[in-house]
Order: sequence, then C-alpha cells, then structure tokens
Amino acid sequence: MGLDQQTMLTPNIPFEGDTIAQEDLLEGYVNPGWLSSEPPKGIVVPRNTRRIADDPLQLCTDHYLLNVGPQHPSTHGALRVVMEMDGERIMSGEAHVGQLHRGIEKLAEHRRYHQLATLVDRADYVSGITVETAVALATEQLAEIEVPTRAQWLRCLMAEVNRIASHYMWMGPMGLDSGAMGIFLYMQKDREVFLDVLEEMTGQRLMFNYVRPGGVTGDLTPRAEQILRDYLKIGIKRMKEHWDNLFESEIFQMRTKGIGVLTRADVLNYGATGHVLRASGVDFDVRRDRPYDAYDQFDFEVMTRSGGDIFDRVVCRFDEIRQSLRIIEQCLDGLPTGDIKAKTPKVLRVPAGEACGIVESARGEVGIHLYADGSDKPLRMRYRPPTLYSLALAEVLLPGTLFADAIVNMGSFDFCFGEVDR
Amino acid sequence: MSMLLQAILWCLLLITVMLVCGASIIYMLRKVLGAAHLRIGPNTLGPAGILQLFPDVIKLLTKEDRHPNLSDKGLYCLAPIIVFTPMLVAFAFIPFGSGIVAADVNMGVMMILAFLTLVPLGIFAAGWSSHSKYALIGAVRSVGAAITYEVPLLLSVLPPIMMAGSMNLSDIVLTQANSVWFIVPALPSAIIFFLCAQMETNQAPFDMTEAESELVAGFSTEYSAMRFGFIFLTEFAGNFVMAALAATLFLGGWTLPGVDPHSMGIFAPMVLVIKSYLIIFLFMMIRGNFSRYRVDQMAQLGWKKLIPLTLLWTMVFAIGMRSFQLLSASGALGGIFGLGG
Repeated sequence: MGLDQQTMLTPNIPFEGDTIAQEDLLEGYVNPGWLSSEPPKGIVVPRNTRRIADDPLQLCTDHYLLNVGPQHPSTHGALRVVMEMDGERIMSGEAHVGQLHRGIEKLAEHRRYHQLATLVDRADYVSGITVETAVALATEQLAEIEVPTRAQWLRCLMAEVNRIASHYMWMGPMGLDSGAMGIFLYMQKDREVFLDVLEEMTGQRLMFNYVRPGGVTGDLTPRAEQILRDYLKIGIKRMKEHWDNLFESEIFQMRTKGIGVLTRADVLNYGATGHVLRASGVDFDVRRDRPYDAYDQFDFEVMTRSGGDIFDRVVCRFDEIRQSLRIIEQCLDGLPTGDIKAKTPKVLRVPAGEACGIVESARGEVGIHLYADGSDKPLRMRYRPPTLYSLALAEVLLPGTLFADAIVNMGSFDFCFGEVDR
Repeated sequence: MSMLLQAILWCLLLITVMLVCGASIIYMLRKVLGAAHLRIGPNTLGPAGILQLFPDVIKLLTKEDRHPNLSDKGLYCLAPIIVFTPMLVAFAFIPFGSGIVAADVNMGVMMILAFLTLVPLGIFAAGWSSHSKYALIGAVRSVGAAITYEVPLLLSVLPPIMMAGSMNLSDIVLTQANSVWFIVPALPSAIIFFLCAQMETNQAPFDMTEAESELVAGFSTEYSAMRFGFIFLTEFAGNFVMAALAATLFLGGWTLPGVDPHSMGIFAPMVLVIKSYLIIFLFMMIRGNFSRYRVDQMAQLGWKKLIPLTLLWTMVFAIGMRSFQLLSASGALGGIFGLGG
C-alpha cells in the first residue's frame, strides 16, 4: 500500500472543488474490515474462537462485560474499551475512540496557515514539534517557500529533542503499566533535560508553536546548546542505567517477551507505522526513506527488530533514542549559519491545490494533507494519526489474551489520544 | 479478675502497637519510595513531613462512608473487620522480649500463620460484596495467590522449628541466642519465606490483587473513608507482622549475638523493631522498582518452582540436621552448635 494512500485512507467528506474520486484514492487498498462506509461505532473485534478452543485446559465460565475506561488509569488519555471477558481472559473487545474529540480538522478550516501549528500541537501534545513540521512542510509545498538551511537543521534538532522527550514520556509509563514504578520517575528526570531545552528555545514546555511555514521562531541559544552538550556526555551512561533497571529485569522480560506478537503481515495490513512497524521487521523510517528538512545529511541508523512482541517494540524505541542523540550531536556540530526564517507575508495566501507533509513523528508516520482553495485558510486539513492505525491492531491482539497482558500491550503502542481523537 | 485486666491491657497495647506500626510504616514507605524515586515525599507538615499522617487520618475519618447501591451491604461493612482482626490477633504471638509477649503459646508459629490465612478471606469478602468487576477480579486473584503461597510459606518455617525443636516463638528466639541465627544453616528457607511474605502482604511484585495499572485499586476499589482506612492499615500492619516473624524465625528475634538475652531488658523490643524495619526496607525497595508478576506466572512460580524446591530443601535439611545431631552426639564433631533443643 502506498504511503499517500495511507495518509488519505479514511474517506474524506466530499467538498466543493474536489476533483479526485473516492475510488481513485482507495485504489489497490485492501479494507482490513473495520473500516466500513458507515461511520463505525467503535472498532469492533470479532470473537476469536480458535485460540481458546485449542486450549483444553481452559475453564469455561460465564462471560461478562468489563468496561475499561475512559477513566481507567492505564488508558493513557481517554480510551474506552468494552471487553467481553471469560475470567481473566479477553474474548473480544470493542475500542470506543472519540472521548477527546475536539474537531481539530474542522477548526483548521477557520485558521490561517500560520495558526495551524497551534492546533496540531494540541492534537499530539507529547511531540508537538514533529507535527508542526508536517504542517509547515505541507504549507511550504503549497506556497513554494524556500526554507533556509539553518532553519531546516534547527527543525531536525528540535524534532529529535522532542522525540527523545516523547519516548521517555512513553517508556516510563510503559514500565508503570507493567508495575515498575521507579523507572517512570528516573525517565522523567531525563525528560526534564529535553524539556528544559525546548523551554529555552521555544518558551513552552508543551505547546511549542516553534515551527512556522518558512522556518522556525527561535535560534539556538548558548544555554540550550550547553544543556544538550552536557547531556550528550552522560546520555549513553544514563541509558545503560535505564536498560539495567527495566529491560534486564527478569519480571519485565517475562511480562513482555513473546506477548502481543504482531507479524509483518499484520502491521502492514493495518497501516501501522513507527516503532510498531519496525519492531515487526519492516525496515521503514520516513526520515531515511523520504527525507525531509535536513535528514538526508545525517548519519543515523533505522533500528529494526524481528520479534514483533512487546519487548521488541520497547527496545526498538530505546535504540531510537540512541540514534536521536547521534543526530543531535551532528546537528550541534554542523549547524550551518544563515537565516532561521524565510521572508513570508503576514497573511499567507497560497494558490489552490493540495499538498501533503509527511514526517516521522515520535509515534510513527504523521501526514498532514492540506487542500487549498486560494484563500488564506485551508479548505480542508486531514491529519493522519499514526496511533489510530495502531489501535486498530486491537483486533489482532485482544482476543485470547489475558487482561494484564492487554494493559501492557496497550502501553506498548504509545497511544496519544489527543492525536487519535483529534 | 487480674487476668481479665491483664488481657484488656494487652489488647489495648497491641492495638496501639499496630496503629503505631501501621502509621510509621506508611510514613516510612513515603519517604523510602520518595528517595528511591528521586522524589521528596512528605516534607511540609512538621519536621520532614512527619505530621502528614494526622491530616491523612482526619481525612479518612471524615470522608463519607458510602457503599455501592447493589452491594451486599452486610458483608461489605464486615469485610474490613475480617481483614483487620486476624492481623491484630497475629500481633499477640510475636515475642518482643524476654516475657514480653501477649500470648506465649506452644503453637505460636502455626497460630500466626493460621490467622494470616484468614486475611485473604476478608479480601475476598470485600471484593465479592463490592458489586464491582474490578474488585471481584482482585478478590479472585487474591484467593488464587493465597493457595499459591501458603504451602511454600508453611514449608519454609519448618527448618527453624526443627532446629529449635519447638513451635513456641520465644523458644525459637532463645535457641538462636544460644547457637546461631537460623538464617545461617537455613538460608534457602529464609529466602523462600521472604518471597512468600511479599506474596502474603500483597507487595509488589506480587501485588496483582490491587494492581493499580490494571484493576484501578483491586478489591478495595469501592471502599472509602475509615473502611478503606482499615484495609490500608492492615496492609502495612501485615508488613510488620511478616517482617517481625521473619526476624524472629531467621534473624534471632529480639536477641543480639554476644549479648545475654536476659539482660536485654527494654532494648529487646527495639532490637526486634529495628530488625523488622530493615526487612520492611528491603520490601519497599523491591516494591519501588520491579515489574508486577502476572497472576498465572505467580501461580507457576509457586506451584512449579517454590513448592518442589521447598519440599526438597526441607527433606535435605531434615536429613542433614539429623545426621549432624547423631554425629555430634557420638562426639565426632564436638557439638559445635548445640542445635536440636
């Protein structure tokens, strides 16, 4: 399946000026089943009888419904899953998304191009820089803006800083899901370093509004550089500590190895991206395979694992942090001089057309598709949230697993419900 | 009459000890976990936040005592008491010093373990009557856990009993004072006892009864106010009981090596408390850092590993101890340790 098709996967609402037929958009796309023409009530997971019937030791009791969320502590935001349970075993589950829906795509139709960044920040509130970059890329394609080299490098630098902060924000709670409390707070301490850099550079710790069409808003400050250089000295040592603390723990390995296994076919069919894809052996990273900004100038590896279980998903991302540190180091060493922002008009009017900004966010492949009608506001913005597609994998994972495993599974996907529900 | 008065006084004393233990362990937990997690813990009220306990207790006392609409109200109200009482009774058998023990019975070890077996019953009652699925899952898990850890727990206390030749805890302590701490000859038993004590007190990594990331708060999800307070207090009092029992069985109880047990006087209880708190400190460090077992993995650990291991070790130990005794009696070893009562 082509990446552009993934980006436009959900049938759009037909609107004036639409010249592309729905059929063309979805050509060659195999419907995985849950996406029907009717608006789905939830992601309905059919009951998997095979795995359970094969187990002769399975004690058959009355089934009951368990409502997990939206206030449940481990739903990482606001997800509601209704599970049909047999004792501790899940027979089927239905994920109800939309608890955090704020209509961000619709709101975008009433914002100027410069203002879109603040909206998408609120969608993916953990790694805002990367999503802002996607918006900026789409806008720049539409308006044909040339971005200065220094601005491109700064975008990469901040995206990697934000990626590490986001990964730490995920890996700690992931440990918490499996019961390990300490690692959460140790990783928060590391995340604090990167939040300090973000605060120094953008003035914000959460909603950055840093990447604009044409460049970025702030230059690298000496203090931010100092913080990063200090961390680069101890980074690998700190990561070794985290590794020993969480991944070397036999109980954590018992809880994650061989559990929640996704095959290569599963992840490809469901359009999963990011670490879910790479942990199942698909060697794909937008940063390397479709380089944007300055990513073609950095030397880094795309980390893949072959197992596809929870442990591989976590370790895959852990290795990504190391690669991000490498990129940050190269950014700091080779930052070119020049402007940080191209000259753009205060009110940006772009010619009619459409453009797609695709980036590798912390969670996977984010695509922002903008349709322009020649005015100063987009006609339609489509946000492809990577974790919504991971969530559809519940269909593969939930039936037959134990409740405790389902919680750790849910943690391993790094759902960000601001993004899923938009 | 004087016996009745004595009994009432002991009861009051034990309740006080339990409350003080529970409260101090809660404070300790906050500080120890805080330090382990690079946090501060309570630090505002009183020196080092030590007065934080009082507002907590006032909060628990003044909150609304509600029960879910469809709950089994009688059982729901009774359950915290079923949880609380056996733990309180268990305190009576722990010797805090020479003669400082509320009930110096010959079956001390068995009595403590028998009363602690009642605690999962109360937990199950609490979960069952709450009319909440999370509470029910927690309750069922606690019963599953109970049948996992009870057998290895009972088997692991056998070596100290064999060595002391008595089930009376005071005798066990005095035997250790006259020979060596039982952790030296029976280290595997001590380790298994420590593991089972963690399971018994629902400590991480065996805290699946209240696994907060899965079951919200497990069996106590629906409880509020002082009923929750009782469950909360029992958990920490249970820590102390198990730690004190471990100290008594394996670490010489209230005695110190090289000190005449009868001249310990007022220091005897302090020695026991310090030993127990060191064990609790270990519990807390484990609690703060490790992932949680899944309930079936814990059952496998119990049934497939701990039970065969303890059975084998106890047999080996019994044979070894008997041959050691026979050899000492025949003068071959000169009776170094004088074990066997």
